[in-house]
Amino acid sequence: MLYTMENRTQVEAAAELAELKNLEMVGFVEAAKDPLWVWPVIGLLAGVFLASFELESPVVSIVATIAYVVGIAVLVGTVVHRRRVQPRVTNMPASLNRLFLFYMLGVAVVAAIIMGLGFGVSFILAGIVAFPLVSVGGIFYHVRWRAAVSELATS
Amino acid sequence: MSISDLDPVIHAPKRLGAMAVLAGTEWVEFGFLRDHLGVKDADLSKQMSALVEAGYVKSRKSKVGRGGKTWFTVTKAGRSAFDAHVAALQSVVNQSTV
Repeated sequence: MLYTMENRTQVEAAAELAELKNLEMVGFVEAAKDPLWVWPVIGLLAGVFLASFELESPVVSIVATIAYVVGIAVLVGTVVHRRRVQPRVTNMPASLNRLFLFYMLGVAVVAAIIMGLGFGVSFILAGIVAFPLVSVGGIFYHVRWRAAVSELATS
Repeated sequence: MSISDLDPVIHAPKRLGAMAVLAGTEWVEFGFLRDHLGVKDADLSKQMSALVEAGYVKSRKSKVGRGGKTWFTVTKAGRSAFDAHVAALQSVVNQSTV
């Protein structure tokens, strides 16, 4: 098929837009490849952190807080440096944005449950409950993220 | 918007590709950009310097790894320029359907 000069420009512009859309997705595609084992590690850190409050010792609490913050920082830093890209969390595609909001809501619900258990029953129980909730919830979110990214990348 | 509105700084294919990757991210490492754009180190370095000079991209060095790594992020001006460029391209595409 022969194109007029004007049409040729339009065809090229359409191809360029499609290519740009693909390139804009690469950060999300890479993040979807992150290993699932990070979630049980986060769950374990959260569980130990919460359980430490049962001792009611300021020194233990401070050490546990520092260990938790440093542990999360090292974990996130390792994952980001390994994948070499940090996708944006604002102005994401609508399906990813919905998923992220759903995740944040899930975090709030889980936090409310474990804090309720901690203050109402026992921080050891809160830590024990936090581990599977954070692990399974995180993996569930991650698998949904992979599916949403895969759908976007092929559309 | 028309084809004359296309930004000359980011109109070059390699720079436009880099801007597209950066537009979808907070930070991107030099090697990641090189691998995804299929360009040589020296070429990407030149293209990224042009974008930094134009104020569209910021860079920072991290000390992780041998010799450190360079990371890039798009600036507010860069994001606006990229969005305007995409809008101009979209208007060129839309002209065919009018």
